[in-house]
Amino acid sequence: MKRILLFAICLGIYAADWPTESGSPQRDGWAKSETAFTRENVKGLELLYKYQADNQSRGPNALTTPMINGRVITYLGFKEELVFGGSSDNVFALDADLNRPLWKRHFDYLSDKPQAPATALCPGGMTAPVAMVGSSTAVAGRGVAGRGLPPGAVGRGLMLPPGRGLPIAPRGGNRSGEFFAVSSDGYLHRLNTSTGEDRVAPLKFLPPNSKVSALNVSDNTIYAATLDGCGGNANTLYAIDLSADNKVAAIPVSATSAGVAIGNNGDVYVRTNDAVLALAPKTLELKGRFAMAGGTVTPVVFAWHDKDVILAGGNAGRLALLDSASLEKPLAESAPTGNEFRGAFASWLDPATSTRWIYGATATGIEAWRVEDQAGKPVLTRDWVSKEVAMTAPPVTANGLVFALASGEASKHAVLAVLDGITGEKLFSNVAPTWSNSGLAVANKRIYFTTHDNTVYCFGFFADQPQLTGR
Amino acid sequence: MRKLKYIALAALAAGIAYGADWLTDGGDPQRTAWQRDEHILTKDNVRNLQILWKLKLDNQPKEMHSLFAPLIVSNVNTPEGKKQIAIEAGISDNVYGIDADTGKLLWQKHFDYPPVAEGRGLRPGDPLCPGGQTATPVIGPPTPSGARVAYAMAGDGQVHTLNVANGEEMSAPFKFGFGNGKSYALNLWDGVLFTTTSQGCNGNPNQMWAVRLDDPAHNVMTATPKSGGLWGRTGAAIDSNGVAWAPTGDGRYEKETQTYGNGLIGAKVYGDALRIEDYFIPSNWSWLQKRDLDFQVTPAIFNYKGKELMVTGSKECRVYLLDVKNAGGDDHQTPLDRTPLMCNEEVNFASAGIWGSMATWEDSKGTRWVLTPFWGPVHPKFQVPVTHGPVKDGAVVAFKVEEKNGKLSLVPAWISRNMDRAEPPVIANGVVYAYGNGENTEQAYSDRGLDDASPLRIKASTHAVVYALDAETGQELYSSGDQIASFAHFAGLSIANGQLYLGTFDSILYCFGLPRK
Repeated sequence: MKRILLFAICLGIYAADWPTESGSPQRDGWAKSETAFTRENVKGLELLYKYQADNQSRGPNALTTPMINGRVITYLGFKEELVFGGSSDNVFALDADLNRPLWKRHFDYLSDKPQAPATALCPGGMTAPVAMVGSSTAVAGRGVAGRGLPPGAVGRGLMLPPGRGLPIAPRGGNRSGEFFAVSSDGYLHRLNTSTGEDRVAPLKFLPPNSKVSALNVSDNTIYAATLDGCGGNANTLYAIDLSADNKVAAIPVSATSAGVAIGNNGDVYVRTNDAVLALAPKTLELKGRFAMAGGTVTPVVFAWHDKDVILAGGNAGRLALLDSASLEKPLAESAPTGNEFRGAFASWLDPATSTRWIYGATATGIEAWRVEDQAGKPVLTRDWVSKEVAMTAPPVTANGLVFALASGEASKHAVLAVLDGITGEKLFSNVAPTWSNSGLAVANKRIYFTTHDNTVYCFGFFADQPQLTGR
Repeated sequence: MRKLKYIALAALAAGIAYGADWLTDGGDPQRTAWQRDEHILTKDNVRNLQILWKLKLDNQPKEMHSLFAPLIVSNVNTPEGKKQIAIEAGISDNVYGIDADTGKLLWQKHFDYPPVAEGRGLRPGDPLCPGGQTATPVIGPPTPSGARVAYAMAGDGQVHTLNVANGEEMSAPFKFGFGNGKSYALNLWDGVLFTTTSQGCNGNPNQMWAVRLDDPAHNVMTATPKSGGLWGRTGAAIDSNGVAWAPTGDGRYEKETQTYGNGLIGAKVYGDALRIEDYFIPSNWSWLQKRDLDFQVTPAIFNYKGKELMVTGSKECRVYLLDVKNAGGDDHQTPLDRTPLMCNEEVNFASAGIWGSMATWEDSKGTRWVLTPFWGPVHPKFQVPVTHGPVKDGAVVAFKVEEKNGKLSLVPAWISRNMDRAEPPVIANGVVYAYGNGENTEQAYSDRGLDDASPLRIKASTHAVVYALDAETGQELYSSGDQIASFAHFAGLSIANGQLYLGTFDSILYCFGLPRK
């Protein structure tokens, strides 16, 4: 009842998304609206459910980092969707509240080139997590704006031919939206969130058999990089503009697995082996460059005072804070620590102290840094180092806590750990039965990750989940 | 029994009026939907039901709405003698007085008023906010002169006092509600008129409303649960203490701020104020809110072994049993009983769950029965001893109220045959009358998400079907089949003196009864 929901919006109905790797185009790994988990209660985290997906692992890959579509109005009702890709070119959507399958989609391999065999470095198959528009900030429930078909959209079961620009379905209106997935043949799929059907014919985007970074979505454009020369393809960053005849731009760079970060002005920041690059949206034209050796961690973008700043990691744990207006001269730099960052950062602003916190994963643990204001200038200060979890996926921060998934390896088990974001104290840990090659997703009182045995794990508190307990 | 039947038929043939009435939506202020005075229709003869008459009215449907549950007033003094009159309200600000015996239109009243100036305006195509007269009227007690009075609320929020015999205004209209604010069925208790509003139609506040009829100033009293909307189909149900109970629709529960969404509030008039006296909030209210499973079913209130109880439910598809003296216990969240899910395994906000109101009756052996309709497929885990075939579109479920070891519970007894969107039943003389409304209830689509539009739904709707069921077994005794031409959205059944009534979208009022000789 939409009128009721209009009132409900005023009354504070919110549903958060986790739409992409690290939760936002800025790659800040911050579940901004999540308050269910606290320093006091997180030690009591419970395994709410797990789901075994019908997917074949390829090399080290199985299921991708989960994403959360916080509220979609499907033809069967309101749903919170838990969505993840599978290495065998599958996409799965579950009812995140009930651990119940909504739909599964398998992509047939469309390329003329044969499908490459899986190796440890180049597993083939679907490698990039599914993504959608938005950020981890909770948004109010369905409204009435944006109802009905978006311009150019067509009815159920019909597809527009490639080449016609169909803008991304709006979020925040009917919130039906769409998911983006890249199959092993390099095609981009624009999926109906209710059914998993293609909204338009698959779009040729990347070369087949690529190892694909996490997708990023901004202003009707999807960004993805090919990695490690897989499939015989040179490492390249691609952008496809869905509002301009699906035009594809490319720039040869060796990017990172978490892909690019996108500034609030739409500029694209990519880490290469020797520099941080600022690129123009859609066209990927070079706008700025900061020379910095070492390229293993995706930058994070956040606001500092009135600036959009970019934090980049370099060799031996060096950090540089860059002004988005001018990359060349860093606002702050840190001395090397010897621990190189990997994956992606997480960052949040503590409203109580106005302290900007940054968390980075290294081979041996998690490091916490602060950006301090000293006479109007930012200073990077290392605060704490935790060796409780090592080799983690990109950390996630929520409500002053740090969530880390030690991914393990073939002979080890993945470990989910929660640390106090202020002190680094370990508050919770849980060992999974096998290892993981996934990142974390946190939204709406639940924490998710996947493991190599094609299982999704969901943690939270049963007390917050009456639908699972019948209470 | 046979003798009684002959007497009744003879009396009908002679034009002698009976004493049974249906004076308010749901039959009585408690919304039991139980016609206690039915003596003509029986389990044995109801199979012979037929359409006695149908009357096409000039009411223009608005969105999906058209006619509401007719009210039946017997023994009305008219210049032509005593008549049994059906008062039928239409969405386009019409009230009709109909000779219930013949189906002849006696009078009609149209409420004229300038365009509603208050509020935000309505959106064409929105089935939730049609504007116009949305509240079923209510009949007051006889005046000292013996006249019967119908209180009807026009779309501009003015209450009109109409003479049931001729439709004439008996006093000046007075302002009660918000123009085009979607008020629900009026209820009347001890000289106080009640209604509820929902969906924020035209900017209308969602709340319970009350006004004293004998107050010359007609001071309007309200009680606000700060929720999404009080859209129980038959408005508020009123207990023996004068507390009006209404469901509050989607919303939050915050005790500290007196925010009572997704629950039930009970409000009572004290002096010139309507105050929330008690409330019940289900323990899983946040789940209901998240999935748009509104607590929106007008309760039915009844006595059981010296206690006054009520039953209600939501689109989640459970029935709650509550004590009106202490709804939900000390924490306001502990019902006397809560049934398992009867339907809505899909957790669908639009086409499943309980919609409307409840019903209850007591049989000659003292067994207390509770009836609920629901939409959509039966839940695969719902256990009920007596079934009547697969249920995929909706059904009526009957429970018995039982007490074991001091604990009251709702025990499933039977589930009816499949009905396409089963609506609130009525009970009379051991027979349950129900109907599938035949309306398309989809509000969202796989290709475009939410798109709740009247034109789409009207086009996809079919027609209503009326059923008579054995109240003790649920066995089908009668079906109207294809005789009804159109669907019935937010309408309602009425029954009195051997005649069953239902109005449909095409503004036809159907009257079913036994063949006349």
